[in-house]
Amino acid sequence: MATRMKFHPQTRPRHLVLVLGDQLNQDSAAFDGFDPACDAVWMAEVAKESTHVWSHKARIAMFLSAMRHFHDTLHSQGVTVHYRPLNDVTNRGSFGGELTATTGRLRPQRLIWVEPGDWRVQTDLESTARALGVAFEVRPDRHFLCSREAFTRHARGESNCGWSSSTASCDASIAC
Amino acid sequence: MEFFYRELRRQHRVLMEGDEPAGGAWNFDAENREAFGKDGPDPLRSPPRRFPPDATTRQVLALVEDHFAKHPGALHDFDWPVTPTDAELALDDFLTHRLAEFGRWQDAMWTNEPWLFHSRLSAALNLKLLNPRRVIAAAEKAFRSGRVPLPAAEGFIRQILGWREYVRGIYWRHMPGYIGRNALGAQHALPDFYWTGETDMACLRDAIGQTWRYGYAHHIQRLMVTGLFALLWGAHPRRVHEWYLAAYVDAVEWVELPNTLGMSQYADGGLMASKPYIASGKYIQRMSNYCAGCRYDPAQRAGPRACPFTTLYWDFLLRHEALLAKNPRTVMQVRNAVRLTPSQRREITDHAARLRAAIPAAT
Repeated sequence: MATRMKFHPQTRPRHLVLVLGDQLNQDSAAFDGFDPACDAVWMAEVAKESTHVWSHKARIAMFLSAMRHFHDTLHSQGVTVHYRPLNDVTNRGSFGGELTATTGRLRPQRLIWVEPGDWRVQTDLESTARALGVAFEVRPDRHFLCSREAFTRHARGESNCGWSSSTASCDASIAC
Repeated sequence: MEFFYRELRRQHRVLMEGDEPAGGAWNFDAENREAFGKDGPDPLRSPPRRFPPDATTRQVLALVEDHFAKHPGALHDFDWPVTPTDAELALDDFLTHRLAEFGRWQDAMWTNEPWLFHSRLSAALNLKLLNPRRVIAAAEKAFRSGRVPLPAAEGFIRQILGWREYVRGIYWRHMPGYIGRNALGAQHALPDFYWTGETDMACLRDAIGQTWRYGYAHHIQRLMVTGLFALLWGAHPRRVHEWYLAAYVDAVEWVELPNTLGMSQYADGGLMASKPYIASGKYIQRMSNYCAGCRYDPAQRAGPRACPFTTLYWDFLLRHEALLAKNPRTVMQVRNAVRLTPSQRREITDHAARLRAAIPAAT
């Protein structure tokens, strides 16, 4: 990721890159083509993710602490991070609520996120983005050695369980 | 999963000698999975490296205590790596001190020993603080440089390159329907002691106690203590899934759900596991010292000292006799149940019913 001066937080971002609590890798496809001069990151600590099952305090702490450290790393590199802490009085408590609020305020040209680790969260994010009428792009999770598509090929009895060039590429072509 | 794993080994050139697997075999489990002797694990081994909370983590711990006061689990032992730098140190600590013995003891359990020779890397991996390629390459290097035996390196790499990738594939290929599967028709509530740890069964008390203390139990505790009991009890798989997702620091649904619902509870009807992983209390006795400190006897299937695992194991065989008889991998187990006399069957069924009445359900 380039370390240029960050743009003014009130400027309309080109891409708003959503980073979830289990996506704390900077080599993620979410950051392909990321330009700190015109793109920004969104992270939110929302109570729903801790209460939809009655989570262990240590599980909640693990995610929140790792998220805050990731935020600090991005921030120190000059990346604008729109980060909603759990104890912010205006916190809306869910990804959908927070994303709606941030998108309404910043009006990014496009939302970008990497395949989440939870079907429910993927559905929430997609339906929120559709309801907002904002363009969005879901990128494959390169953390894994076998892509979802390659697994399907394997399950169908075809071999080659890896990344084809098409699944590994992403759209970084939109001009700033 | 075995062919999937071999394919990934070949494709990513992991533990390969040309076109052949290193050591001439894909899998060395025959040399793994020992139990500790009567003296238990070596008391002089290095304890796992700790990562005491920094200022940021301390703020989070206070926030969680405040906002989620009624949630289960403790925070005073929180010492997980929460940055890529610390995760790398945790990996190095595992490679240096525990990987060599990992394979040999991966299925062993011991009272008050939550970590043993396990890596403690699952949360760091699942939050993506660590790249699995890095972990796999480092474990292979430890073998190539002669620091760890091949069965240890292979057994560990299979968890990351094989199982971890496989369960993710299963999750996305079969969701959203997968979460609703209940192939065995299990309908009982989870016993309340899963949330409190209050039970006279020493193995469950230890595994659940450390779960609420650390947010962690190792693989075999999850599969063959808490998972096995829930399966034999006939707990509804959705309730079991919710418990595992809530309880563990490494739990993200893509990895937790197929492991719980498929591997442990057989609720997917055999997609993940080739048979239900069922055993009596004698398995736990063989793999741990839990039974020595327990009021129950794993050799007895009925009566006041009968181990509930053993009672419920026989009850499970009787309840699912037809299904288990059709599976070549469980046909031997069910054959023993077929030999029971009607009065022995009644004794088991009656005692199982008494257990169900005596153990309170979670609300």
